[in-house]
Amino acid sequence: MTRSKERTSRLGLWLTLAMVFAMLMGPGPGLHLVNPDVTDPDAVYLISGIPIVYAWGIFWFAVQVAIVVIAYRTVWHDDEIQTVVTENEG
Amino acid sequence: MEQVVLNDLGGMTYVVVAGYLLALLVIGYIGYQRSRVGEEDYYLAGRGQGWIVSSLTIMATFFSSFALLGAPGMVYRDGVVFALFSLNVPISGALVYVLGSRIHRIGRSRGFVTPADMLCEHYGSPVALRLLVALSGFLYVMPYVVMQIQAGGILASQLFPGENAFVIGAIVLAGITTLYIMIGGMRSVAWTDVLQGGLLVVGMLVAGVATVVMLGGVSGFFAGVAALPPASLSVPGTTGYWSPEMLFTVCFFASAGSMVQPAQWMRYYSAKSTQTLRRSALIFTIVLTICYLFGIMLVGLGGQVLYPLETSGGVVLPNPAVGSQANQFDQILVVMISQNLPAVFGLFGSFLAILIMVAIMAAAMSTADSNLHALSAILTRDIYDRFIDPSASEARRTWVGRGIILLATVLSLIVVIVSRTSATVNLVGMIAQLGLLAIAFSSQLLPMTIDMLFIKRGTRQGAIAGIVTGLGIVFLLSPLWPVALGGGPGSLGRLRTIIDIGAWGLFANIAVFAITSVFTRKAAVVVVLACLALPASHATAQSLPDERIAESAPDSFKVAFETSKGGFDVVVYRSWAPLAADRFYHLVRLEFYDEASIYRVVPGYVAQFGIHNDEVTNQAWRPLVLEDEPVRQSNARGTVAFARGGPKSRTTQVYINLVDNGRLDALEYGGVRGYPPFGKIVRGMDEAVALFNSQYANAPAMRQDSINASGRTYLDRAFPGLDYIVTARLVAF
Repeated sequence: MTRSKERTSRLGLWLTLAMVFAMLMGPGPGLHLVNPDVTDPDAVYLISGIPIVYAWGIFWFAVQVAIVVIAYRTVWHDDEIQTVVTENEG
Repeated sequence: MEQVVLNDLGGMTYVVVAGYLLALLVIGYIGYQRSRVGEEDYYLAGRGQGWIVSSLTIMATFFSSFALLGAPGMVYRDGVVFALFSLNVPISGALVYVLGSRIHRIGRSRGFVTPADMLCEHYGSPVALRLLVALSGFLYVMPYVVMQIQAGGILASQLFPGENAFVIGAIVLAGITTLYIMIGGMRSVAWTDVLQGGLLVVGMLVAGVATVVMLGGVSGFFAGVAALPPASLSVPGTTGYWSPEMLFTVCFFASAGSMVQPAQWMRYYSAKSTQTLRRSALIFTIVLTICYLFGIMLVGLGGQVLYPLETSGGVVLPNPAVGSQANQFDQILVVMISQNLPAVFGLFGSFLAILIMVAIMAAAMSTADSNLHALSAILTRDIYDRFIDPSASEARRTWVGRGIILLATVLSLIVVIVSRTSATVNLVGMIAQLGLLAIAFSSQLLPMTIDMLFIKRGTRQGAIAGIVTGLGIVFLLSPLWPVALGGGPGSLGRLRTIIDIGAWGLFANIAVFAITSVFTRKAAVVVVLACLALPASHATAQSLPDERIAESAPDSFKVAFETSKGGFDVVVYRSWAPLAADRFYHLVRLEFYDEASIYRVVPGYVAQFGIHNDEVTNQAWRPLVLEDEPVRQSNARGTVAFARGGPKSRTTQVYINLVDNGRLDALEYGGVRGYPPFGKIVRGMDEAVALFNSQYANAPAMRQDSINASGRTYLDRAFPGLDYIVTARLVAF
């Protein structure tokens, strides 16, 4: 494997982990960091006039898009070839 | 659904709807004119879809009527929690490339049409796994078709007056959809999806913007939202259903499940290139999530502001102006646009209202057409062709596929109409239950798909045991369980409130798949070792591998081939590719190539052979893959090399370079560079090899699963006249 391929492969792994992290933080357990407790009278529901859970979703969407854009530009290759000489997959 | 007829919009409704339906028919007809005879064209549009068509048809297939009815209803009912649910879309988008590009590459090289084609060949299970994968696809597809046709009927009843508007609307929409699928196949489906995908994206965003404007602009909108009840502004939402655990599992597993459903899988096959899927993934990720977060979210939240929820006996209910029953939250978008847009924006508002209604229609039709088309492929390729009439011609199979589309549409229409008109029979209700489970069923393909594409450690037995377990668990935990057995699921029912039932099924599926694979892989090794220990004379009878496989070939040797077109000789040089030379030497000594078809002859490129006529023999060789080797000699005219499909995948198939194919020296496929020649033809290149029957070119090679199963029996029937090897023998050199 060439050095650039190793770099790409490592970056791909990091991006995958970042996507999993975004899922854990967005709709996953990380949500508890911002989710208002309805039984708490002092709970904060808004940030700059926008529902905080909605803003949280938009923020992690932005993170996901950033990950996909980086993957699109660096990791995902257009290695389309004429695959006319083929054998059974191992 | 309670009928909410739009304000009187005069003839504009008829003109816009008729124009839309006419446009679909015209596009469908153009698709028909561009189509060519054959399954590959009918089901996969000749594998030539560009990125615009691919991205829009993938998006339109993903967004069903749920996107414009169910999703706004979900926001209206549960509040902001839907913003987090929307985060499943970028995961799905990324999978368009991550899974799709690999599926595309393998599918293109092997000529696969359905998911089962690929999975069954990989796991070497032409019967059991094919039936299970087909069943999984059927369980996904059928409920979706019924629900989309029903949605079409409901929309018609809201757009047009009259008692029969529902039935007529359902019939017209189903009829037009069926017509363009039947005549133009995938090309018509995908091209109409371009219009429909564009419409639904515009419809969602227009609905969101219009909602904000209706509430007095951005500040007015958020002022209204800020005043909503606390449960609407937090997780788990108004109904308490969306716990973070439920959200996470639905987002993670359901998104993946929806991207391996049959219609999407076939779109990966249909794409022109991996670049097509790469672009589609990016567009999908950005555009569809924006539609949810800045279209549907605004509609649902605005709906709560304009039509506050009510509570009765602890049950959350829609506002009476929206619906009187607990299941009528889905009407919120229709109610909002019908009651507010014309009043706020006048004639322009009426036009926008009709545009959004047409967008809902488009969402329903684009999902129905994709699923009907996929159902046709599944039942034709995986059932009819394999088990009912294996000798059917390609043209006949295509017509059978058309018949299946018609039959499925008629059955779905009967279900929809009977449920609508009967006071006692509610088939749609049961199917809707099944529809909710569709993705859970579909997601059970994930473990074997991921193993096939990335891990490659699973076995046939593991795949079968895993999917049976997964489907069984989903069914057991589903609301269908009491319906099927007349009893409640007891404590099992509580499990489905903790995390998504598809995830429960997947956990069990993965565990059973992995454990069974570990044990059966060990068993497989024992079988191979037993084969190796067989006396050579016994093994030779079936060309099975024997203990001589470990022996090295001479530094060079000559093999004389007798074929149906005459003889040719190959001289092999071990120094060119030692592993390949050893394998070829061993295969020839076993008389492996005797009677084997030369199933692929592409003029100006290669001639290929090396699949045995006996399925057991092919299965025995399948795991005995060669390590990859560097290219030391160019793929010049007359040289021979082993074919491969990825890293460490060379086993028995060999190709002859019919011309100088220097590009194969450095061609990278599956992360491996080049195809190393191991020998050269020294006699008969012009007298025999150049004369091989090339009339079918690549087509027979696209059916390698069938060739592996039946060899020349299959080829002689499906591709009569192919040349074959009579004998291949070592000769003095």
